[in-house]
Amino acid sequence: MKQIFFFITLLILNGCQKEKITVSSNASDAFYVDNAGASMRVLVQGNTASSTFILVIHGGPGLSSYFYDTKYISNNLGDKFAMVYWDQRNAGASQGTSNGGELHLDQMVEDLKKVIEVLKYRYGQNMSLFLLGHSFGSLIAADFITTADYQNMIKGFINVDGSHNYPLNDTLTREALLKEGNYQVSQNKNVEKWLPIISYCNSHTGNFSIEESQQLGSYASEAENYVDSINHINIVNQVLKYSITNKYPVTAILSNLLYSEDSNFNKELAIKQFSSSLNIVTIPVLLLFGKYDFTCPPDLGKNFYNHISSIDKRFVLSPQSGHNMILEDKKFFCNEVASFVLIHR
Amino acid sequence: MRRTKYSGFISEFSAGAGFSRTFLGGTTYKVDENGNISVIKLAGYNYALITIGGGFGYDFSMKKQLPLSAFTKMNIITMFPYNSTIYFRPVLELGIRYTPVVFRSKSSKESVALSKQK
Repeated sequence: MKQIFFFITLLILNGCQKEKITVSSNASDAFYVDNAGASMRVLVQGNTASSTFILVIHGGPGLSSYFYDTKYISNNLGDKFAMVYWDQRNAGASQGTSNGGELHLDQMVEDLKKVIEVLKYRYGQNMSLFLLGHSFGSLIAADFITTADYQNMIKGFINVDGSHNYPLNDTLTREALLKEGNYQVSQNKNVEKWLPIISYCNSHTGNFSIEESQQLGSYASEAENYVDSINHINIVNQVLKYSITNKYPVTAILSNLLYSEDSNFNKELAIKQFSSSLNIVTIPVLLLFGKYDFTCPPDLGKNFYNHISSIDKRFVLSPQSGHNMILEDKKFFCNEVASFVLIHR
Repeated sequence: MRRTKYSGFISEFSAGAGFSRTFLGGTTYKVDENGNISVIKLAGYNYALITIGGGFGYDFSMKKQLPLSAFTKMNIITMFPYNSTIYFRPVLELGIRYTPVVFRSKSSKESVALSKQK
């Protein structure tokens, strides 16, 4: 009897982890990639039969790819291509034990390389693969495409409101806040909200400490609320809307986010920049930035654009979004991404 | 620890320590330095686990001859080290508990006695 019980238990457990590789126009496969103390969740959604994959590198550090898996993206990108949602180490639904020592950028680049290798192992070596980095995700992508010959593993890179140079990012955030703040004050709009931001920027002029960098980041997020031109989306409502249907691991996401925000990792990131090594990049690149993105201002995208050697590169500005263009200008975002991928796949 | 008052009101508190083994919800791959890919069987992690919970309810057997009690209980399960931090999961229990007569008579008397002592 005991042997039968043990055998049935093993069968059930094996059933949970049975390899599922779907090639169809409406796939939904979840698997994990184990590397250096972390098991990272990867969800493949949409048209895997197209052999064209867009790997989303989420922001943060410590956020989750769950937030990018929206119905609109499923209907407008997932119908044509396979969307790949990777939860980075110490983020989202990824698991591990005492692995905080491995939380650094070079390790994440190696994680990404292995995720790509597993994707190609599962769905075919000849697939057309694109990276789509948002915010912090573009820092990982910038590191990836400037490391050895890694850019040859992909067909192109889409940089959405992304950062590739944290020190420059802080400088540009300050400048963007001052410029928009002074304009808004001149128009007599939200004056009492903008004045403390302007005052902070005027008294902190450069060579920013971590605390100053975090304060600028905080003001950058807050300031978007004071710009009427942005198509504001209630992020909390958005999360609530999908948390049940997409089975968000809410407490795991929260635990990971709190840890990442407070870890020494941020000290490493504060001095990271890839502007000086971007000249080796030759793959096609699409840059999408929100006109009112103070967190990663459009000038950061222009810096990226000017430093790469790619012949095929395009920079486009969304006139109605801040740092969350994927939600705030979703039609613009999907159209631009689809056009770029269809041309270069 | 569960207390039942003569009126039938139940209060409950529990705490425990244990071990948790997770099993990842999908095939888990390992890539070696040469790019060789293998599947890890029964992939998952071992965590230390602590749970605490508290709740209340009503024991129908105290006033009527019904061997049932209704209860609600909130538990917090914590697992660690989870990605170098602590994972927590709130669990809400809503239930009806059936106590067979052979167990009920003794435990009820003890509970009533305890309640009267107070």
